[in-house]
Amino acid sequence: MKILVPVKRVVDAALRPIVSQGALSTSGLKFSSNPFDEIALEEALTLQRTLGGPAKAEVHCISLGPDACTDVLRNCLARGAQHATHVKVPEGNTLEPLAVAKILHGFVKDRGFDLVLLGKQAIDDDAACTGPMLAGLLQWPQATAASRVQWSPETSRLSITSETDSGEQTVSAPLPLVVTADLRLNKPKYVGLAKLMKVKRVPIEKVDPETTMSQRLEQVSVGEPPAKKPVTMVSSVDELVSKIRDLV
Amino acid sequence: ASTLTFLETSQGKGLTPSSLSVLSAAKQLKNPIVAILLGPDAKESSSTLLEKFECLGLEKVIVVGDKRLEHYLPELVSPLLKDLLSKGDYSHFVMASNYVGKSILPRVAALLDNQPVCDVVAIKDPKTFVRPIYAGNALSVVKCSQDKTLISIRASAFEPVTAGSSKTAKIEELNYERTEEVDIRWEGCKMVDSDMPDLTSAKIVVAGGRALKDKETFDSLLVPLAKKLHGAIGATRAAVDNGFCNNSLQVGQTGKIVAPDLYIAAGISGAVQHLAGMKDSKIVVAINNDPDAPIFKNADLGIEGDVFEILPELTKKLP
Repeated sequence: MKILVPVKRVVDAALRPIVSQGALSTSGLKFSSNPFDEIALEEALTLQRTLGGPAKAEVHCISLGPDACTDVLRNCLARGAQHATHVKVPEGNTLEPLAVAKILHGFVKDRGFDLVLLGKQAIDDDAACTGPMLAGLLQWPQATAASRVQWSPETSRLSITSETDSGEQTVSAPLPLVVTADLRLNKPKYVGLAKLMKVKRVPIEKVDPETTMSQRLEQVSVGEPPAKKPVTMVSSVDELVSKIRDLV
Repeated sequence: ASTLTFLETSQGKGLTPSSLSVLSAAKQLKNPIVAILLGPDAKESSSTLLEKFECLGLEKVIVVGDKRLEHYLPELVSPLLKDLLSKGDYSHFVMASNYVGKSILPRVAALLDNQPVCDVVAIKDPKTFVRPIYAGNALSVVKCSQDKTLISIRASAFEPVTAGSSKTAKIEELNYERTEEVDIRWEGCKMVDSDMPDLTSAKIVVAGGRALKDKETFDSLLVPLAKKLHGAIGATRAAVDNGFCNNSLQVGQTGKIVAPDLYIAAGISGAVQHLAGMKDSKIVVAINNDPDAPIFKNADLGIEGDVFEILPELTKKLP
């Protein structure tokens, strides 16, 4: 089995980009792997162990973006992925989810993957589009926002439980398919320096994007959300009750 | 040109509250509106829609009653929507940005070679939309110049259409023909049975965090207050992860996005991810024993103190 894990390089989850004069700036900020994609990779590695290790199932990570994406991919190798591919996209070129899905589509078809596991959304654009778009282009089944994934050797189906609006639902599908990972799927393990040093010389494949496409949406401006008025602190429940009454 | 809107029903409960917000968002696009309803409840819900809700501009409701569409599996629904959108003279497509919307809209868009605008919180004009990015820390204004504009809307940002009637609209039944076979099986679901109001559409939300200690304390402190206010219960990720309540009650970047008239945050410190789910609430009341908790910077009213004392007293004293 061949598992592909696309990983996006994003502004670190603990930081915020700077918004000024109608634009967004990320210069000088620390970048990391999209946390949901890290969860997807952890799940891919778990599945790999269940299936009998790298000889039975290989995990391949891919990242689209500027040269700095190699850091993200190096981290994936340190976590235990066997292969890594960097699709070179010049700094400053924004790839919309549709463009990402098309590039991944080509890659999946050319290399014959059986399963694509990725985060349910990226924490920068919060679009949550790439997974279902890729599944649509491939005409594969999809399971989004997975909180539990189980492989059944008897039926050769993957069973996926997702948190929905009113509870949870479980679907099952045979391979190939696309699964997107939610927060509660697992807790990615910490990668120590020793592991990072070990993969320092493992080659990362570089490829040029197969399709180039113009952006479909134009970002007119970026603004800050309206500022909140300062809080009014009260000192007793009685005061709180009367203030709530005035306001609501 | 017209706008196709995707409406949902929830088993036995008819149209979902978010569907009513989808219709009001569609009204802002100023085109005639066509609604589509799928699954075994579709027929009945279409009559309810015409008899009980006022939606100016609604011209037609397409009903596809096929049982196979009951669970809105994107593999089955997407080809159907793709066909409708590519054949009709639709300029816009609107659905809710909830679990169903997030699984269906991108798939349909990919089939149409289209980039959708997801999670819209405001419509500036029929081509220009506002959507939050970076967990709501920034608002992006996006212009779409594709032949079709596909959007999902955040239900909390659009007032639902009001009671009334839309009797001039026609109902049209359509057969579902499954053209392509994708092997996906719906194995089952666990619905949360609750007599509390729906979290995403409630006017009042009472939410608790890790400080509420355990499930018993969470229930005994929050439920009476929520009941008295006819509000819904919400929670932080930490509260859900510690088993205080079901995960469908999680409010935040990856949980529910709510914007009630009143949001009471009890024992919630105010992590960025939680704030992303409730910062658009009209009035936020924060109760916390840590005066430096970030939640106070995002609240309108704050009281420093012990949730175990304040919540029961508040429940008693609120009218």
